Amino acid sequence: MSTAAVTRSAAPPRVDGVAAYAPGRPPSLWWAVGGWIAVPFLTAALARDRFILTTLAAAAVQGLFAVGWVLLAVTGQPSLGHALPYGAGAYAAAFVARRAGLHGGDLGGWVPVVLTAAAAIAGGCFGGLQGRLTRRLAPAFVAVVTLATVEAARSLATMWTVPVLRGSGDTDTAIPLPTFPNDDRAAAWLAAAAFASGVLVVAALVRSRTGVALRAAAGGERDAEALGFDAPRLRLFAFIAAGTIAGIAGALAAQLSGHASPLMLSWQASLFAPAAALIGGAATVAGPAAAAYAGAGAAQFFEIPAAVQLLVFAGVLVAAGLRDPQHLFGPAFSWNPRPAERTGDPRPGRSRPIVPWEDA
Amino acid sequence: MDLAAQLIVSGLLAGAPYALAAWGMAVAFANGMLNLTLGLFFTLGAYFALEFTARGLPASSAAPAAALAALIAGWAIERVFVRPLQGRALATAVVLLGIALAGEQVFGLVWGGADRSVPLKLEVLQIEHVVVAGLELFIAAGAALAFFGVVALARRTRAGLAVRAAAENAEIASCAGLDVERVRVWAFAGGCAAAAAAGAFVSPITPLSPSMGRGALIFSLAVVAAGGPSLRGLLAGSLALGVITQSPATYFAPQWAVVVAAAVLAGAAARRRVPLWRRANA
Repeated sequence: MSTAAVTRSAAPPRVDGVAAYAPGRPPSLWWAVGGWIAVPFLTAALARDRFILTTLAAAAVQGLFAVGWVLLAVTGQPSLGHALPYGAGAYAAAFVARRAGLHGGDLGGWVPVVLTAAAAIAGGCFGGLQGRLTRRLAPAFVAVVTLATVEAARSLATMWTVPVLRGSGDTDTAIPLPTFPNDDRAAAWLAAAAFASGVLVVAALVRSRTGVALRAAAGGERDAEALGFDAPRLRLFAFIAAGTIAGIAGALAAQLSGHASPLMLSWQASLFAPAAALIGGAATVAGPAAAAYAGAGAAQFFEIPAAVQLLVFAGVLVAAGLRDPQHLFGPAFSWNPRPAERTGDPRPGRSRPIVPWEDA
Repeated sequence: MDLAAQLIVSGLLAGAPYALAAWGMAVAFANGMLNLTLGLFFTLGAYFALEFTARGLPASSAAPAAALAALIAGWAIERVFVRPLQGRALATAVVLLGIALAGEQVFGLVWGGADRSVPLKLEVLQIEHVVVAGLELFIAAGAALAFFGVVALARRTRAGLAVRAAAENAEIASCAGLDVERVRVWAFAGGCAAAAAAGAFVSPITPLSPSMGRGALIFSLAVVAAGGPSLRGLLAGSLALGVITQSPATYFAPQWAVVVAAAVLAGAAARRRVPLWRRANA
């Protein structure tokens, strides 16, 4: 072990006297985050085919959706109902567009911004609702209750039919809304920009002072209280922030595809984010982002049916649960080996720099 | 007034089979396991009934066969997947959810993704102004018989006593010479069997699909959250929730039943004070 590493290990940075939770600022992590921000832009710039551009746009939106979930993992709230704010965002955009009779060129071209803002508010509200219901529950019940909320929302969504696309199935109860942008390349660029912004915001938040407080909220309430943190409020904040990001992702997905449908509130959509976190490692930001981007891109490119995707998610859940049950949403691997030295666990890929909580 | 009486009777009859499924959830839950495969076994029971009726047998006769199949499958799942994760509630729940999802896809491959129905026609009875389908009465009677059979087993037999002792305090039960591991596996498997029997009973009055167990799972969780862990509370919770969900489902759309059950689950879970539900306070 190098002298520098020993020095870092012996004296981790102190934030408000909370040395144990100090995240440090490893530069290699930022390289990883930066690298993943560059990938969507590069691929969008290099792609020529329309199908590829559409695939890239969808992958970036799904990446944005999944990266917000990291905030929930950080606070020890393994929500399995993250599709609720995502779908709520999509439906809010559709609702505003229909009620106000908005079309693509209205409001001086600001319609997409208005719809996305409405979606962000709706996503934050529904995320907050989930957070309010689960903020004092054990992680297993956070998972179950959030899953129930998304199933209830899907049931409600199947009832909302409009004369344009009336039907009884999931696919034909879609609500149409103005498509934006009309150009495929612009769509890919826009989605890449949104994805990059989401990764940056979440990475900065997780590694900030607020992030320290959020990690403290993952443990017991008395521990957090002793450290001066209001754990339930912080957990609620995480749900609202994650919900806002999911709502924006939902609005983008709806505007790219031109409709909001109950499929956005399905278990398949809901389990996508935790599955990406399990593959990529919930203790990192770049890991889930990469897994979500690659996974959604592959699913779109190879047109993998929803049933097969669910089967894959099921396999991921089972494998992850059996592999490391004590730290289920801990990292599968780490971009940065140094936190392992801090935690005293020398095994490669066993560092837990962000998620200190364990299964209750 | 007549309509209210009708809704109450219909709700009570609809809620009866779910009491059995809720007991299945409660018995596993009492032993520290959040059995998210319960919906899967509920669906299995319903498809068993479909197969039985296709062969000219009554749907109710599928309940024992489905329960036996679920008992064996539940036993295997507990041994392979649940036991290694003992004491890890979240990991257990996530793994069982994965198994349930995989099972749904298998059902979809075997029976197709489209809705199916179990044909079973019985006379309609009218008592004063309340109309009761003979079918519903028959299902409720079967479910009640199974539920009270399970209650009798739990209260009157040594096996039931062992399950209750292990649930109450596993460490002391173990010191008293009880094989807690074995009790846990039978508690889990018994819960799966109860859910399968409930699915077989409900099959004639509900459309069958691979994902039909999701609603039953939420309903069972809601009942356990609101009425558990006592058997009396489970029964009262199931019947009450049956009445509550029946009302909006009658007036508006069947989907409201899931919405109401999820609301009850979320509300009741948030108010629970038992340690398994709550985040550790240490």
